[in-house]
Amino acid sequence: MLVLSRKKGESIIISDDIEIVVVSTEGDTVKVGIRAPKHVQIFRKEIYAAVKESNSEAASSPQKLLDFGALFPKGDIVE
Amino acid sequence: MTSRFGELSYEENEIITFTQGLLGFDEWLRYVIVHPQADVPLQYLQCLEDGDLAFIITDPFLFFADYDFELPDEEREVLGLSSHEHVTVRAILTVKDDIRLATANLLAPIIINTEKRWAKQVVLHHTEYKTRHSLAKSGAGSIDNQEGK
Repeated sequence: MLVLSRKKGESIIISDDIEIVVVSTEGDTVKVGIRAPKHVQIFRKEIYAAVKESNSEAASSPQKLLDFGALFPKGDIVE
Repeated sequence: MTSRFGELSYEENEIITFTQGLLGFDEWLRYVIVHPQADVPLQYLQCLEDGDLAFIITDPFLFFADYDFELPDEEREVLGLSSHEHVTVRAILTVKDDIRLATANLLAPIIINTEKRWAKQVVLHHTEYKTRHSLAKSGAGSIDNQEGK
């Protein structure tokens, strides 16, 4: 891992088109700004992991058709 | 060939193409929505490139009337959205065996451009929503009913 020290306001360039800016620091927290082409996806790591895990769990629903109707007690369908 | 529906037939104009794959499933971009029980608002998002892969989805606003988020401009651009009329929002559900225990991922909804039939899973950046919101306990102000993380 490349480790670089930056002061507030300084930047890091990744490839040609991604810029990471140290916007501010307050105690333990660093505010980071990211400029990147719109197709580049950017996430807080733990959020990325949570969504990946959730998708994975969701993909392993039973390999058969479920009766969705059980979610709606008779006469209670939400449309 | 699919594991839940056998040989699935569909029209070319039913195909939804993801501009970027679902997180963790980046290789798969082509899906169709299957609605097996017309009177129940849950569907399967069936992958055309892997017959075993399907996600259960629903309109989150039916269960979470207060669900609210802002779609960032970059996401609107990636999806080719120029107006609000062509947007459909779907939440992926996690179901183990009992559908009544199903939870919805409100943190990363699927946004569909219904005109171009493009879609993307958009992860909300500044939000209190989580990946598991119980459907059964949903209702107004249901953000308080989140399960797990």
